[in-house]
Amino acid sequence: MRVRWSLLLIPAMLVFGVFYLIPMIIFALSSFHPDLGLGRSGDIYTLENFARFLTDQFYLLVLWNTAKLSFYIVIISLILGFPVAYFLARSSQKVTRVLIPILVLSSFVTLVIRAMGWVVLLGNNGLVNKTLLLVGAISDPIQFLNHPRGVVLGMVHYVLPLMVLAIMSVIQTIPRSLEQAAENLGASRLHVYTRVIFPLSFNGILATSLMVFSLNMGVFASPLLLGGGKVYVFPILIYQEIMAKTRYAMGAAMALALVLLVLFINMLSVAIGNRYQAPGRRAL
Amino acid sequence: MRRIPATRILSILFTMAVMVFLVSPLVPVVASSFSSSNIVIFPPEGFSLKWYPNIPANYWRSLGVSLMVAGLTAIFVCLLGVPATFALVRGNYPGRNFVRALLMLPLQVPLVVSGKVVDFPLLWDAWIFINCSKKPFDDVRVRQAIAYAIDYNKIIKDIERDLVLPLYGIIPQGMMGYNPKRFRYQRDVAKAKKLLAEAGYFNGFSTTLIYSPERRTEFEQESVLIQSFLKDIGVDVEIEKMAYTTQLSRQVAGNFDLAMMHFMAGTGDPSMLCHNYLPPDVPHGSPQYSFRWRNERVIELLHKGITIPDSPEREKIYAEVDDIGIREAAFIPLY
Repeated sequence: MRVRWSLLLIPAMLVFGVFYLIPMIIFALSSFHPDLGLGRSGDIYTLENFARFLTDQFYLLVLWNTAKLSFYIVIISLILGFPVAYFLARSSQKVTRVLIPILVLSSFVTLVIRAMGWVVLLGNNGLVNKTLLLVGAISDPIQFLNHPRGVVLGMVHYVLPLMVLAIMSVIQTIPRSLEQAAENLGASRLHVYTRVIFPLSFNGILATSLMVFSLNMGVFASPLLLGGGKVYVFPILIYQEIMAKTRYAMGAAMALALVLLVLFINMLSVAIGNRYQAPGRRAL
Repeated sequence: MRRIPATRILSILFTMAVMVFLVSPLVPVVASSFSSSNIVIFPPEGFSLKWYPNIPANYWRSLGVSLMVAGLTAIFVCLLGVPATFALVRGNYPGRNFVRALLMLPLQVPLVVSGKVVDFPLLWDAWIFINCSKKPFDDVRVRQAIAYAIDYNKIIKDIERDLVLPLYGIIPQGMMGYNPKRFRYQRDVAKAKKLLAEAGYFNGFSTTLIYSPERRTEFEQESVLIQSFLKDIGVDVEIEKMAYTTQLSRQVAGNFDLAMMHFMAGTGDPSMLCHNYLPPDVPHGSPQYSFRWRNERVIELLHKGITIPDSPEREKIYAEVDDIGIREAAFIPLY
């Protein structure tokens, strides 16, 4: 019995190994070669790319800003996404049949098309600013485009459907009878949320948040299109290093540093999550 | 009937607001496809269906290819993923959690890193487009004379400070179809003058060179250098500096003689670069068509090149396209 199940993994692992793992290893190794510029790299192994990256204030600052931005986006999309996920999880099929396709559809449209829509809506003469000016909520147009505000908005929009769908499936696993029991015992609605639903869905929320965080750390299309080159995130730096400066080894070193940082943050969060969980309810 | 609690109403309103937020960027895009206006504004001006019949036939074919790729991917992923899921859930063997974590890796590794894995050669190119359908450039000898007049090494050494490689053809080094032994124009004033004389331009002629400094600041100096190179063979060049959008619209309209261009060829495959050679009226034709040059053999080769998989035969096709473009001096590759 034991052998048979593991055999089923072979095709998937083969494809994964050849098309993902091996290229990743090649890429990781290329970051240890000296970068000679113009797409050339030396044959010897060295840590100079990493040393250059770690001693450059600009790179580190951008990396820190990217992590901050990603964190804000996770928090905002949690605040927006959790109530919606709860609502959908507790709604009848009639409601979900209409709303879930909207969620999926909006997440399937490519980033470029979405960015185009945002540019039209959020420009200084766009619908949003015009409406706000008309009702007198603001006296000058709010700058969204070419500003971190627009980038955050675009990225929240990008990750929100994912967040909602993932958290929804977690909440669906919590029996409604637990909520009813809490209410019968005199808990207010707020208490039901904070004492029953939130602790029980904590693992799922943490896992989803980490996935969204990782996603944000690697996105460069939104910041590029909505930030107008004024919002520097780390993936844009990597993109420029490779495409504009053609420093492949340096770009690989920066990318590897990003991967390691993201993996480290994920592992740390899982460890923290496990500490605050009863045994047998481990995160991830 | 049960009263709907206030929290329920609140959460309905909240959910609706989030849904509106999710749909909002798509609304102006969909709406402007029905707009009669040429620019994307919201709310749109006027209703029209004029854009839909204008979708080029090859876009529909691309849609078909996308559908096919998506369908095949889904089938393939199911064939691999479903058995693997059974193995991960039902199986009990050492290393199961490790395999599971490994398979989750692509979700955790930032997208830009996965993209890095697909590496391709340096593809920033600088060219001079020649308006091959306009007199006197419709004569291949005139175009060759221009190619012989330019001192490529001087441009690369003096202005680019040896940070770029000379190009000599449409296909850059490292791309499929690159032939290291391809023909190279080198500065040869006597030969250039002879070619001009054969074409009937004993005393040269006057022409214009357009460029946009915002595209590449080095063009400021390089255009002057090119002006002096062409002066040596009796061709008077008037340099016109303009905004990039103006230059593009003039190229699309064919309203230019010589035009300097700096751009990045989007992919590592030669087809994308070479398809610029295709006139707009043939399948996969380039809508910009800045070459204004038509060569039936090149059209035939390029149509064949995109239908066959990578092979020595395909390599030969693009090498031949490159060679024809060089011999015909369809444009001036700088670096």
